Amino acid sequence: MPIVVKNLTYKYMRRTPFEQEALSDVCLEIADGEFVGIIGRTGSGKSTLVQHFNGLLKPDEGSVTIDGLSATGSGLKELRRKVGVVFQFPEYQLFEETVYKDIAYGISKLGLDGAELDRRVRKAAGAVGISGAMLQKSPFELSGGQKRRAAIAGIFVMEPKFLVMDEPGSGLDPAGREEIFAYVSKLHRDFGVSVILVSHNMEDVARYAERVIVMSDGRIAMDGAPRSVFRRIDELEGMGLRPPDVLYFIRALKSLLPGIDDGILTVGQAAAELEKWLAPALARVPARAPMASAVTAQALARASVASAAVVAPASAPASEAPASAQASASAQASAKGGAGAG
Amino acid sequence: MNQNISLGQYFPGNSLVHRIDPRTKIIVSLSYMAVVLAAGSPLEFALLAAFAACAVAASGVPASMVLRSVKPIIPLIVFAGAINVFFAKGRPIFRLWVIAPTYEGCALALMMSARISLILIGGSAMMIFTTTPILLTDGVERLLKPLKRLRVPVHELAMMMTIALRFIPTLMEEADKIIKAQASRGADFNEGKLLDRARSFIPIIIPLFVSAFRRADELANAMEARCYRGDEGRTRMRELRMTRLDAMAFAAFGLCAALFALLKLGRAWWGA
Repeated sequence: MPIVVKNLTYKYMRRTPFEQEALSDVCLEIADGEFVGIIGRTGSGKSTLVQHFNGLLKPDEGSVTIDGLSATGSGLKELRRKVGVVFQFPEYQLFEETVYKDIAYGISKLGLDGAELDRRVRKAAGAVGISGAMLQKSPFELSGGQKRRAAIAGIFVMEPKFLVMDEPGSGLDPAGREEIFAYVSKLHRDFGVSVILVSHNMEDVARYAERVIVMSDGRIAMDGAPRSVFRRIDELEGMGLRPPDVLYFIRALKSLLPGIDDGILTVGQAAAELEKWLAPALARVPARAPMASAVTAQALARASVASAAVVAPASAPASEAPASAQASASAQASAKGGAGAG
Repeated sequence: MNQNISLGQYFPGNSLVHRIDPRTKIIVSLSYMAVVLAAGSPLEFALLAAFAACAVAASGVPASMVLRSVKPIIPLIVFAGAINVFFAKGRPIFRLWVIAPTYEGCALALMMSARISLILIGGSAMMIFTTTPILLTDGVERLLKPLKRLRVPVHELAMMMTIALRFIPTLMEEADKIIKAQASRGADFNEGKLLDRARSFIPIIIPLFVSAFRRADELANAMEARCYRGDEGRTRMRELRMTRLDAMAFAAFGLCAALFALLKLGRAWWGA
């Protein structure tokens, strides 16, 4: 059973002069097994919305139903077992003597113990890259990134059916981010866990989400497949958002190659599309031996050089030069940033 | 969660009362409280209530909000009132075994409730609702300055008070966040025996303390980075200045106090 939100309105500081409407008349349905990205500028109501999913906030108007359970009803415990929420900066919720105990906190509250508890704790710890030796340390001895991983493991261990993550990657190094997202994708793919990812990082959302919801001023402004949402660059910018750089790159290229697919979301897709388009021209560019880890970035760089090579002689130099300069400049940026994004 | 606590909450505005110098407000409301303690007849209470009502009206703070500040201490009023009603000496209203409420007791209870409410309303309307905590501590610091001669670290105490006040909402927000996070992990704060319940707060208290210490550290660094080194040679962004408004406030209160004294004298005269 899905998450159903009907006409949800929520106000902060109700009945005081500071009253502020955080959500107004939000209607939303999230099916089982979906991977949804929620984006929006700070204060657009994303976090407020997801806090309704496990009954931390109660709607002022409207209703929220998860798996047939009302988020206002008495089944809160049941609801929170089903819906795991990883908050922003979850490392500040650590409190136990050892990392092991902290990860186990949630499931020991559910009455698990013994071998089953041990198995689940170790599995969750493994998923976020926390080694056996680290489990016996105090959580306060860990580094910031390790703390974050331990805290995320504390949610994974509950094995929720719906996983809500509010900015899980911020402040993590690229490798740590990659690791956590890899595990979340696996949960999603292999176990049908619904994932709701709240993030400012458009690259992450573009890469993992199957559906993107854009919040603006407490309302849902857009809702659809990433391809169709991210294509509306100007509208998104108007809401204080910035789609992944690669979309700007494609848009810049579009004036040169009008037939190019502009529903591209990742560096990898862009490289593939460009290779397809520029296969003949590529043959003219001397190929260096590509490094295994940077294949797509290299391909992208090659392709953009090739596209410049194709366009530059053919087009009127005065009008087209800035466009192609911009294109290759952003190609460089993407090549740098996307090296690991195979 | 803590949205409904109105005691100790600044109500933004630019009314007459808001613009009065915090020192004036502190002096007037403390004196007002002293006068309230001295009141003993219905007429005197009526006079003081009228003054409080004028102050509230002039402050632009909704009366309902001011009244709400009395709410947390209603149990105290009821409890103390009940004790007075049953244990004060005097003419009994009726007698049931040892239970004998007296007329004098009722009068005492009423008076005490009026006293507590007036002190709270007067204090909150005149000071807390209309003065930002920062201005309030500024005022306290200025008023206590003479004590510095006696080696009382007035500035440091005021600074501590400012910081404490400043961090109450921050820590409340933090506590709220931690409570939510732990609740999401299945924490339950209202179930089980007393000991279990006490234990269930550990997951909140520990992270809260950790973050409070972290914040204290960061704040200390930030202060040192801006060359904070105590009171010496420190200038202020807001200079406190008395204006005509303050003269008016003192005059209004003086008038009220004079009337009060007349009533008191009159009662002594007629009563004698």
